[in-house]
Amino acid sequence: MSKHEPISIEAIKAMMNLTDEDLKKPLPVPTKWSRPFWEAAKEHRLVLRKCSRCGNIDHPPYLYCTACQADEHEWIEASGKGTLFAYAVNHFGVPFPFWADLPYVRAWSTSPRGCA
Amino acid sequence: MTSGEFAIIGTGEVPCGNYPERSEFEIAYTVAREAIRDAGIDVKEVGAVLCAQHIMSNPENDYNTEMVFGRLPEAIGARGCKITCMTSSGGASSFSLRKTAEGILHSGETDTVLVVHAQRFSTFTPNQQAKYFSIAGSDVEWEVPYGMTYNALAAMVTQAYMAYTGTTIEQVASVCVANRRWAMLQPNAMFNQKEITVEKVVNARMVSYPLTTLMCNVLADGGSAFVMTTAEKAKKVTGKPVYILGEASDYSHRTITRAGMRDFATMAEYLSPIARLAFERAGLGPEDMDIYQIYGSYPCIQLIVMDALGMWEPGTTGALVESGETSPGGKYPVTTNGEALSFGHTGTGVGIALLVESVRQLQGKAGKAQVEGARFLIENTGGGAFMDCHFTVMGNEIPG
Repeated sequence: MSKHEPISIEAIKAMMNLTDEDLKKPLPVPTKWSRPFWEAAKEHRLVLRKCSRCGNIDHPPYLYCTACQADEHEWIEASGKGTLFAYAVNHFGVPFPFWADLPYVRAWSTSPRGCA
Repeated sequence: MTSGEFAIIGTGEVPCGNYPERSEFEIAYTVAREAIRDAGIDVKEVGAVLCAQHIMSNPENDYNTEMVFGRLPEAIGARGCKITCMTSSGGASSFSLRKTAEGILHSGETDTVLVVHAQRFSTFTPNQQAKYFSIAGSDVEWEVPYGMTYNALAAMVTQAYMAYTGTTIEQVASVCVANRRWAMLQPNAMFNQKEITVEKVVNARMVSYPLTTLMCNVLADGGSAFVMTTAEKAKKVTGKPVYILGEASDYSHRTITRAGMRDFATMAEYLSPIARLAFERAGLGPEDMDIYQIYGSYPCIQLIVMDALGMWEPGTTGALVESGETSPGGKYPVTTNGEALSFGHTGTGVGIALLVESVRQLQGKAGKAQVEGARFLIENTGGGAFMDCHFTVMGNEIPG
């Protein structure tokens, strides 16, 4: 691990002339087809779009099934379990709204449903 | 495409780095004239002018809008121009532009196409740049709100690759060292003044573990151009045509979680059939190549792509790079312009710069970086969050 001192959010704000607006975290803007995911997320449920015709699970979801192009679908509850296969620890050089969170981990896992 | 049907006959390039006073229009006009002069043709012979889309627009005088609506042919005096358009596929733009050029040549409407790229980042604030690049590499709905970054993605791929192959972080860092050694021989490279060592790369400031600042590319202003024509015309106008001998492509995903390769630790297995197809179409093998021009926004990606070539045992390329064999003077020259890590990341132009360097090498015009007697090479590019991959075999002769 390198020995460089972290740069505080106050320091980076001054150095880069950042406004409060620059530090506002981006929020997801749901689409017509992803809204049910975010509605469920509000209730602390992790749901996935499953095609009622062919059973394919799409995440992220799209307008129609990416395997058979059918519209009919249901939202199923994910197990919440996953297998980690890679991670990174962000220390520097992130978009400024995330600077105060440093260091933070981004991880990548595969769910038993076959989605990453 | 038939092997050797098309050729590139001239290139142009401006220095890469921080040049806030140099507008994209100035870059585009400069490299266009240089490429036409280098090709030894008259500008009036150019029948199609293609522009790479630049990224991050200046609303005051938008380069993309101007180029889409035909500014370039007018400004450079391409009075015989019949077709103009803009094409982009991010880092893979060198390939999509070239394929568009091939299609136009194939249509018979013209036999001479000019392709131009120009980019200026330095007039945007660091905040604007950070914002744009979080969106370019990550999904705006599913990843960006969680602080995902391009660097974090590359860091994950690097961790997975190291775990899967036993490659060390020092070997990953040696890619940066090799790239820098090549960039030192390039007058237009952003970082061509100071050598770096493995120790320095590993001990630089940590950005996204295990990647340090020197393992992450730096955005830069720059641009380049090339002139493409039919093999028939190329033979008439120049003694040094560079033929497109074989190419192959594949697309995987936009959202990283939808990656066709499924598991980034075994990414090379997904890429190797693409390379194999390009070699097959060229009628050549990896051992026939004099240079391996591998796109590499991050050091680990260069190793993964090298693993895919069928030339070296997958997982051993880190040790190969560490041994110095891919550096100047080595047995296997790899990425002779220093690429995104040392030449500079010019957005959609990274791959175009590598293509231009490929042409220079095969024309014997690569100056201090020249690989003596280079006849054939494989060139590679890709865009987005590793969304696609393209391989092209090129040569200064058509193998019989």
